[in-house]
Amino acid sequence: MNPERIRNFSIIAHIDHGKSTLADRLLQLTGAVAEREMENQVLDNMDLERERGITIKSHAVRLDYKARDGESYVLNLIDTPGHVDFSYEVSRSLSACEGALLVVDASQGVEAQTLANTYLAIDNNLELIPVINKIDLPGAEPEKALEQIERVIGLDTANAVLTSAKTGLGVPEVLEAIVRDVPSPKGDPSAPLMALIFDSWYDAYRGVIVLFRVIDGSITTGMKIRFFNTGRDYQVENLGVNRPRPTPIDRLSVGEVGFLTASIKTVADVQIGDTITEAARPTTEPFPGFQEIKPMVFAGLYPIEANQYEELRDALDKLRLNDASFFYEPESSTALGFGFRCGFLGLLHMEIVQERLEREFNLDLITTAPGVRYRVTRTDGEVVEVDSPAKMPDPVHIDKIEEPIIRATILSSDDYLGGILPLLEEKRGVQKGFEYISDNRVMLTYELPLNEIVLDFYDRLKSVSRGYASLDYSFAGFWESDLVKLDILVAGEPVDALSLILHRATSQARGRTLAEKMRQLIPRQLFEVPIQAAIGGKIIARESVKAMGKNVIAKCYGGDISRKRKLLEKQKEGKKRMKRVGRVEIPQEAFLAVLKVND
Amino acid sequence: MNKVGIYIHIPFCRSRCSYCDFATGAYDAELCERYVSAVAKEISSFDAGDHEVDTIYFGGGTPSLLTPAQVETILDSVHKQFHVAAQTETTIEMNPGTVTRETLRAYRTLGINRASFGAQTFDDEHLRRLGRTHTAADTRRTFDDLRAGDYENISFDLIAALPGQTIDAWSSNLDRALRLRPEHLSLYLLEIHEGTPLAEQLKRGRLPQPDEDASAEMYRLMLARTSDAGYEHYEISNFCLPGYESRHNTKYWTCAPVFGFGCSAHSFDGRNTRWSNERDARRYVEAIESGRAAVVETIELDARELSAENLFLGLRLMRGIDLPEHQARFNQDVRIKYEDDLARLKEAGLIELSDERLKLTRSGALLSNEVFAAFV
Repeated sequence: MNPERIRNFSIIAHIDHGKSTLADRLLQLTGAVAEREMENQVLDNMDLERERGITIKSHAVRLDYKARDGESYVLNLIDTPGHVDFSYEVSRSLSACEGALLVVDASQGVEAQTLANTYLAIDNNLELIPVINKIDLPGAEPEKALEQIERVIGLDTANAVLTSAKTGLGVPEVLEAIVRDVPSPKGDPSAPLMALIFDSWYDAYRGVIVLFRVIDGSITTGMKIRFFNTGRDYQVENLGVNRPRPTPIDRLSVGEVGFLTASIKTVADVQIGDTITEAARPTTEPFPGFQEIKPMVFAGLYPIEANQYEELRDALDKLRLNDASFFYEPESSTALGFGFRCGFLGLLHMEIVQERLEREFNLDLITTAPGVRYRVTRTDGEVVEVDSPAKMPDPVHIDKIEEPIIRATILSSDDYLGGILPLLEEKRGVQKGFEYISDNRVMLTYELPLNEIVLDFYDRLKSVSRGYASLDYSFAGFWESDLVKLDILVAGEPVDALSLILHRATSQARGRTLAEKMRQLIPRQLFEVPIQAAIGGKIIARESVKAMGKNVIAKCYGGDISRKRKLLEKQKEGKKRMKRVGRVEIPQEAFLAVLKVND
Repeated sequence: MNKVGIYIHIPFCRSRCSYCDFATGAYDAELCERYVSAVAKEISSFDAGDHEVDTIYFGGGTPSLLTPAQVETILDSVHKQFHVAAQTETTIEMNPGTVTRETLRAYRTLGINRASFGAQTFDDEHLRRLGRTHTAADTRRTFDDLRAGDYENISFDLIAALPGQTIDAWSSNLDRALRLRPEHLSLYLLEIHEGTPLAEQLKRGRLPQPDEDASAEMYRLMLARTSDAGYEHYEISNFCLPGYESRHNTKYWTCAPVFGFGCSAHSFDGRNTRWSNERDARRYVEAIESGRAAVVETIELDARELSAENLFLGLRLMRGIDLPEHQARFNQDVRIKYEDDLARLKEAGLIELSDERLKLTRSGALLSNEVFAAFV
């Protein structure tokens, strides 16, 4: 197909600014989806995506559009994940496009996520079309939104389109703007095949489905292909495009977007950002920008019922078929038994994996406090990566600890600075930028330890700004910090599941809070139970659970003995479900509650 | 042959107490009359075998709502159906202030020789809050009436750790109880049962929650005070002057046979079977009147359950379990089977263990559920 008639674009928007509604409208207007088939948010396939209103996986849809110039065009809409955890995937999807719609809510204005993805788009040389959405709402101030775009992003808004995706107002103009402003793909049709993989997923019937964009050359059914980075060869079995229903096609060439299947067993064999080429005539250089995906956030996942360990392992294996971006390895804990240390792209990714394990595999899980991967230099000069408190070397063997740092962009009304700035201070943030982007809207740029973000930062930012501040961040390297490992000891025994790595300055307070919390949660035992918080060998907080006062059935006659026996059996069952640390029986709920504390 | 106890449940009360979760309902003279006939019929059609009865117990509810004639009807049916021993202990439960001297005398003439009543507390304010309809003065009068009526075996109940009750208040309750010198005392720590008005009041914060440590303190106080007064602490919550243990209730704690009649009555055959009757009074009456059985549940206990019950019931008696006897009856060496648990409980100071005997210590009595749970 003639690349002159192809437009590849994606949509950049902050959550709730109307990306999915606009996409639905585009599908409808181009006839890809008939009115009666219209289901809200056609592109979001997973239940979780619909519920959370976010896109987790990328999608691509081919739209046929007859423009006002009388020509027919193929518009490929490449949807991107909408969360900071998936910024690498976003960047790969964007690099498959020549342009992007920058959707901004007319009453909300520019938000942090819009910015982050816009910068990614600019890095990938995309042509941006500002779309000011929701102009039908009473609070809409399209002029203000346009001004922010010009001022913050430095983008000319002459070609901006004002829309209401909900009513359909302005949507035909969006289609025209895409044809007019998004450049057509440039590529060499006779060069060796070079295609960019921007997503893949596992289908129980067809194996792995790979989404790609052809840069040079062409790909055909039956072709022997090679994945440049993994070096693996496959034969293309099915080639197709989504309209949005999968439709087979024999050949895809320069600028075209489609999917293929090739008897690939797991998504781990397909790396996002990798290049597809022809095995017989490979390209010499791959498409630039490929990176190995690295997990950033780590936590232990344990089954609540010990006998679900095998099931959890099977579930993780199966989930990995579909999501190669998390990793796991067996881990055991004296308090929680057998489980897995898991690494995730970010907090949302962690929640998604956890929720899918519980929902799709019916598992009940305990997740330990999330942490990050530290770089520890031992006194003998060896550098080790530590992603769990249990792996932290003894302090006497540590020369220095470095922690991962992020660069955070926060956008908020200046009304909330009184809450936001102290929070950033408390979280050990270093200010890198402070800029008014309109009368009362401020953009803050900070460097912060990732560790502080994973604990409770996002919730607290939301609460000090009544939900109005938006946050985006990207990984920005490591810095050296005075970090310590905090242990909680119950009756003298460390409870490994409760250990934390944190900054020395906050360790005292947190130790006290944790010890206090444990005192409230551990039921009274037959003997007094001391609870201590310790750093290294030093006790920094002490609490104690008093010995049990009474547990007695007063009246026991009238003959209903079986009921009493059942009562006792129930009590015994309850004890069995408790986790034993030394002589102390701790209910599972205590761990859950402590791991959930946000203060 | 093991002597059996007879239990007769009388499911009527003038009003319901706020802590009560027993099977009882409002008194209705017409229903009560039908009920008495039904109980007599149930007893008459019971296959009594050659059992000898040596305890009879009217429990409730408020059995003293029965007229002497109604008590007589029931006792007659027992005597017709069973061989009743000469020295049978026959108990009736009552509420203070509800029974006249005449009725008490009439009961005594019918062979009732033991009275048990719920004094609960000598504090009128607490009585009112618990939904009791009597006062401390009524308790005193009933006690005197019983003595005047020739009752030589009187027991009453007191509840400790009532919401808002101080240790001093409990102490003076004990003083007043011991001054009366009943032959037998049942002293309980308040238990809160789900679904009772009391549980609801506590949940809503209308009444202060009893404190666990203060409750324990009150329990220790009652052990000391009764002991000083010459009472024997023979069961977790029961105290008596020498020789006045409740023979009927001891049957439950020693897994002896007890046959229960009336609604919600529970029975044990002394071997391996427990059964219980329809809980609702009206449905019970209808079943019996139409010639059907009132039994709604029969449980055959296996060896493990039997042994467990014998242990946790037997341990309620402060004399504890005779281990050789237990081994002979249940073919189980407790010291081996529960070796780890016994070691743990002994270390925590809850039990005393010798070759012959396993028993609770005083602190073990307060934490007895912790001990019992090891055996179920």
